[in-house]
Parts: sequence; C-alpha cells; structure tokens
Amino acid sequence: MPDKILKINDLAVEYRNKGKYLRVLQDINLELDNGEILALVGESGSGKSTLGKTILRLLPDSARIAEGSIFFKGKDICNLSEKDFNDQIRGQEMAMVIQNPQNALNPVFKVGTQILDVLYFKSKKQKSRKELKKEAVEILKKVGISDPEYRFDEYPHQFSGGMKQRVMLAMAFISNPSLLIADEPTTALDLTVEAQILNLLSKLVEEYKTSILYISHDLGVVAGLSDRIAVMYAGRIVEVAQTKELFAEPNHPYTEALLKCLPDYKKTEELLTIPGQVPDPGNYPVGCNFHPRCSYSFDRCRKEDPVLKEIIPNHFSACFLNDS
Amino acid sequence: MALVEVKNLKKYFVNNDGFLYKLAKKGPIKVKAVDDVSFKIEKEDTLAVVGESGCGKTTVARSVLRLIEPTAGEILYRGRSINNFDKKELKAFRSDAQMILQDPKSSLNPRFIVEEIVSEPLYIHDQIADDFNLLDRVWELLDMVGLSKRYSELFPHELSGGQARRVGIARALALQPEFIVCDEPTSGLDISIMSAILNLMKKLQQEYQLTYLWISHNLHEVRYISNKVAVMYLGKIVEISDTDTIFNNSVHPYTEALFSSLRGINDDWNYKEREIIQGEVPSPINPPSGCSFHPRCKYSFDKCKKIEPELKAVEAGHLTSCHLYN
Repeated sequence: MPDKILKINDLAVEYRNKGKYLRVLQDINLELDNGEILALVGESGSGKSTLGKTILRLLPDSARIAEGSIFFKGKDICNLSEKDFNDQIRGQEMAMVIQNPQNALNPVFKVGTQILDVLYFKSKKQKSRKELKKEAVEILKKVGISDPEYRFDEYPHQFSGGMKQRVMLAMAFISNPSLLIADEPTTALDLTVEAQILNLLSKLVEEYKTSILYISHDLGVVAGLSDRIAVMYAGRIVEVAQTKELFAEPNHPYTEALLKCLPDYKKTEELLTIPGQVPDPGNYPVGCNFHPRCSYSFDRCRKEDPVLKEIIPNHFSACFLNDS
Repeated sequence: MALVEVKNLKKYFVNNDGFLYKLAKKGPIKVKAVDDVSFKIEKEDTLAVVGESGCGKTTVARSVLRLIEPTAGEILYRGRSINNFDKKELKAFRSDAQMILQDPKSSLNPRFIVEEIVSEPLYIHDQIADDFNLLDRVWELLDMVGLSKRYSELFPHELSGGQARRVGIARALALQPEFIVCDEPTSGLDISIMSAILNLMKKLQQEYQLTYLWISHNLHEVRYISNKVAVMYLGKIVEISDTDTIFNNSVHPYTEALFSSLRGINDDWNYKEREIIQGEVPSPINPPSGCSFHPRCKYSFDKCKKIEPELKAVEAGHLTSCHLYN
C-alpha cells in the first residue's frame, strides 16, 4: 500500500454561473499521509469546504473538475463511475462529518435506527437489524453517550448538539474509513463541549488509524489537533507546513498577517487589520491573489501566479519573496 | 457612581399556556434564565459577560436595556431605576443606551438603504434639522465606522458581513449614546474582519468615551476588548473581576474548566492528552440542587450539593461563588 492516502495534483474546480465557468479552486496540490491529521484553514469563501466536497464528489451539478486529478490509495478516483464511487469509496473508505449536527440527522427517525442503517449497509444487507442492535448500542457507548440503551430509542431533538456530533462521529467511524473529511464539526458547539468532541476525535483517530482532513477557521483548535496545516486563500493553497512550524515561522505574508489579526488570550499587543477584502470567487486579481492586500507586494506579484514551492524541507509556500 | 448598576436581577420565563400542558395538568415550566445577578459598570469600562449557550448572558443584556421586563431586581442607570421610567423617560434612556445586535445582516431592514437604516433613530428621536444636514450626518456616521459615502445608497444584501456589522455600529452611534450593549458583535465574522471590528470598537470607545456591556463566548476577543469579566453559568455569575485577574488568577472551578478547554495558538498541548471537563450544561428548567456546577466539579464536596454558594469577595474587586473560598 502506498504511504500517501490521498494525493491531489493540480486540481482546479469551476462553478457555472450565468453560462460562464468561474474558477473557485486553482492549482491545488496536497498530499495526506496515513494516519495524519491535516488541517485546512482559511476565511470563508477561500474554498476549503469546496475542496472537501470535491474529494467526496459531493459538489452540485453546476460544478465541475476542470483540471487535475485526485488519487486515493494510489487510484485515480476522478474517473470512477458514480456507482463504483458509491460502492467502493463513499461511506466505506471515506466518510464525512459535517458542520451542523442539527441538520445532519433525520429528525423523524430514532437515533438508534439511523445508526442501524449504517451497520446494515456495512454488513451488505446480510444481517438483520435486530442482530445488529447490540453492536449499535456498543458504538453509542464508545463515543461517550451515557445510558446508551435508553438513548438508542430517542429522537435527534432529544439529543444536545454535542451528543448529536458524537453520534455523527460514531456513524462515520462504523465503516472504519481510511479518510475522514471533517468540515468544521465543532463550530456550533460550546467551548467545553468542543474540547470534549476533539478529544474523542483524536482518540478515535488513534484507534482506527484514520487520516483526517480537518476543515476549520479556528486556528487555536487546529493548533491543538493537527499534524500539518494547509492555509487557503481565495481558492489556492498558499502555505503548507508542520503545525508548530507554521505558527512559529509563517512564511507566506497572508499567514503572517492572519496570525497577527487573531485575538488570543495570551496576546496583549494591538491586533493588526488586513486592509481590503477577500476577493469574490471568479473575480480574482491578476497575479498573486493576495497582492492587493499584501504589504510586501512588488511588480512581479501583479503579473505572475506564484506556485507552491518547498522552501525548506516539508514547508511549502507560494510567494515570490522566496525567490529573491 | 457607576453608570449602570444591576441589583439582584432575576428573569424567569414561565410556560404554562400550552393546551397539552393544561390537559396533562402539569405545573408551569419555569426557566430561571437569570437568577440573582448583580454587577456594576463604571463609565468608560467594558464589562464582558462570558459563558456557554443557555447561561443567560443575552437575557442579561436585554434586561439591562429593558427590552424585556425582569421578574425581579433593579437596574439603575446613573443612579435612577429604569424599571420605573415613564414613556418619556424611557425614550430619553433609549437614546443614551444602544444595542448592537448579534447577526450583522438580519438586524438590518432588508427594504431600507443604508442611509435610511442609519438615520431612522434620528427620525424617531426628532433630531433632524433638515434633510441636507441629515445626509451629512449619515456620511459622518459612516465615516466614523470606516465606510465611504457610496455605501449610503446600498441595500443590506449588497453588503458583506463586515460592512453590515459596521452599518449596525453606525446606527447604534447615531444618537451619540454613552452606553452600548454589544451582543456577540463579532460572531460569524472572519478573523481579519473580526480584528478590524474589534479595533474599531476600541477606537470609538476612546474617542467618544463609550461604556460597553460586551456579551461574548469568544474568550480570546474578551481578553482584547474588556477590562472586566463576569463568568456566568446557568443564570448566575460565578466569578467576576478585572480581566487580568480572570485570565491569570481565576479561582472558580468552572472558570478553570472553561480556560482548560480554551486552546490559543501559543499554547502547548493537544486535545488527545488534555484532561477535559466531562458532561454538559444541565437544563435550566431543572437545575441541580446547591451549587449548580457541583455535578461537573472535580472539587465538589457535601456542602456543594445542599447549599447554594453566595457571590463573595476573595479579594478586593474579585468575587466568586464557591464554597472552597467562603
């Protein structure tokens, strides 16, 4: 088995809007090791959720992959038919936990029934739901839901937000996926509950040896969870580095500015403000997407697109400053 | 004299009018959203109220402006009780005390342009000499919050989240208030926009001698903006002090638990090995006996289950409600 679980090469994704195609992702190159937690951070509209959805092929019909390829366990999954993808990959090898646990569970079915469904399809419809009930209760117990036998027969509205997200994690891990895409799974949760869920997630990852693509905008959370971080800005990955290194020595001007903007409870100095706004998708500036807001920008930034380059081992950055 | 003083504020929400409840002859459901909360805000201070969802922080914010009537307790503004204000006095109070609402976009009328949104308070409070002055005043207000003149002609749907937030701030400033209640003004905003709004609020506070009551669940932001912090849990203040003390020398076990879940970018621990407080906030309909935090507290002992702790000073200006310190 190749040690890279996921390899994305020169990926570009476009959305159709009024007959034209707008590029929302451009030149995405990303690798994910076995058992690694890679965090994808960026502001809203930077394309981080779109990337997650592209990997799981959950994009709407109006979107298309314009260029590039996605290799999963050494196999090109862009060319798989929808049926093969569903049978072999989605929900089996790759799973997803979405942002809002309130909307992720079906409100008219009991929580237990929904877990049983996943188990039933995992057994390829061989076992009956009755046989599987014991397993389902066991799973609820594992993700830290107290009194699981009683909770099994309750409906989603009787669960708190944190408990729903625990159930979502349970359902995602049932099929023992090799890759889990977590799209801001804790944004709607309170601070202490968030920490509980992330603690549970880290433990599950260790037990199941799952790789995670963790999409988030909370740099503090990501700092305490991930092995590596990829920073996205306006549809491109601008910097990839080991978590500690990224915070200690950010290379890209955007990452540097972002860290200076971020209020932190240990920081007392003035916060920086990045002038201007994140450009709209499809309306990106010529050259480096960050140049209108960048304090270091020079002529070349306005003309050419910088590409992601390895500046020191395992630290990638897309900035012309590294060339001079 | 403190600008705002809240004395033993209580707000219970009662629900007993449902048909099925009457049929089942169940007693009324009482939610103690805010239970005996007292604090003072001095002029030009920023008091931040923090806590997890359902702890009653928004209810406190609304009660302070008399947007909801408290069940019991008194709110003093410049030493006068706002509970007894008549219509005229209340209107005057409303121009002194403003609010910035949580959701930047839905708090703006979608059918008004920015000019109308920002000038509406001026109309309501009869502070318009003529229409020429009005537009100047609107431009001036927009300039204060960092928006150019052209924004006065836009509708809310044409604004980004950060711009909409600035319009909300401009509207709150229109009547030159001295006290502003900010209900999670930065939630839902991106990091770079959030820092811009925080800096703006700080600048406005210095320039116009404003006093803020700042509701938030983001402790990083609270550290930056406030000089006093009240930590709430299930409708009660469990600890209140100046910001440095809360962040460096907090004493209440809940504050401790809250901070141990907080991960800043300069911290050095990961979620896998971190010891994290278990359980969730109990329902305010049926809060635990004694200290409402005792079921989750690692220090709890017999007394905590039976007797409710009172908010008492551990040192000057630092109050906490915990039996460990009383």
